[in-house]
Amino acid sequence: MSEPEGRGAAWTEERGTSDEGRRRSEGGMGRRAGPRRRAGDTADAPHPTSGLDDTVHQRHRLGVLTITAEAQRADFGYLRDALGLTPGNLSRHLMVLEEAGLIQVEKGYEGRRPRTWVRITSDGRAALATELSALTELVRRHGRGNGAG
Amino acid sequence: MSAEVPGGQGGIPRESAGSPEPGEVLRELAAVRRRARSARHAYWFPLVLFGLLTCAAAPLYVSAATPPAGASATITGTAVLGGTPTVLGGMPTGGSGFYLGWYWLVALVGGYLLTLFWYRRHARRIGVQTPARGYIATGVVLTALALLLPLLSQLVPFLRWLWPGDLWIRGTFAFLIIAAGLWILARAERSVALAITAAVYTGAAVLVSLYNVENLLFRLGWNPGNGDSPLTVLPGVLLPAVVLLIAGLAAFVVQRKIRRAGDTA
Repeated sequence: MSEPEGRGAAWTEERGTSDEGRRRSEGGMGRRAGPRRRAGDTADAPHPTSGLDDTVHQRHRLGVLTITAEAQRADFGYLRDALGLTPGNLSRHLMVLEEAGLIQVEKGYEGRRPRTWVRITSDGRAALATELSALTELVRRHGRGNGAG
Repeated sequence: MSAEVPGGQGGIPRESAGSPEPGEVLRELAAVRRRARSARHAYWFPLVLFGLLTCAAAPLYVSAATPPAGASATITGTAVLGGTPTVLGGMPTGGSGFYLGWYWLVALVGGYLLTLFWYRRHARRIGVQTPARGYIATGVVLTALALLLPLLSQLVPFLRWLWPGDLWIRGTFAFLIIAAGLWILARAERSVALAITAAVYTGAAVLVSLYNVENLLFRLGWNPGNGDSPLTVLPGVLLPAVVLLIAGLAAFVVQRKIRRAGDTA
């Protein structure tokens, strides 16, 4: 089966992703952003980064949750193409999300062809909502900080 | 902003250079969500299907409005209760709505089943599935209620309070069932365009259920001959059908255009 142009390059790059690289990537913005306080933040209010969850926060996993929250269920192939991932990489992300109880993976056949569907759980919806509100709050504070100079 | 992966449907950019800003992540997720939503939109089919089913019912409305041979064109005013889909057939002037009622019973159930198959097929083809079960369930449950209400209200007179006022007497209650389903579908599809269509269609359905819209055409000069008087029911039937067909065809064109753009991206 021919793959779309550019998939090969993406595969090479993803295949070279080491565990260390993945950990760095998975650590993501939550760690990099850090719970630094800006002038104007109230002392009692928790920093928005405290709402970020490493399992959810990884960009591609966030993408999987976003797509599956949009639909009743999403096909493995659709997720792979929409997120620009290799099958192996997507499988690893799905495994992490499934182990965390955020998605359900349904494997079956369509005729003789195997087909995998991914469905978000209620915990997954809640985790996605928490993550998005934390990110939105970060953007809001960041903008306010910039505005304050 | 980091480069997107070529070849996919856009994809989430890789974290190759530096950490992504939260605003950037939110924008990317919004784009991914928008693409998934566009991909799963497939509501043109039920719009066109029910538009065509309504057009196909037009001869039955004309037939129901035609007085039986030897009788004058007066309102019969007798609703046959129990055993027939009275609510769906209404109390047309002229003959009875017996065949109209059965037509709508079969058309509604068949239409909803076809829509269910359509959404399943679309999901298999595209890879994202719209939660259309609420839409199907709404349509089937309301159709079943419309069928059973006359029978049940004979057994339990109190249930006559559930009869939908004058909304059923013109045999257009099926339009209101379709309208209720469209609201549920608009929510499932998360489509503003479909919500607008549902609002316009509901307005048209309520109008033709409560008012003889042919009166408007009479004022504009339409004056069918005496023998053609049963044709005067047609504007009330075709108005909701036209709303569905125009909205369905427009949605078909737009959804096809978006999908083609996605395929070539």
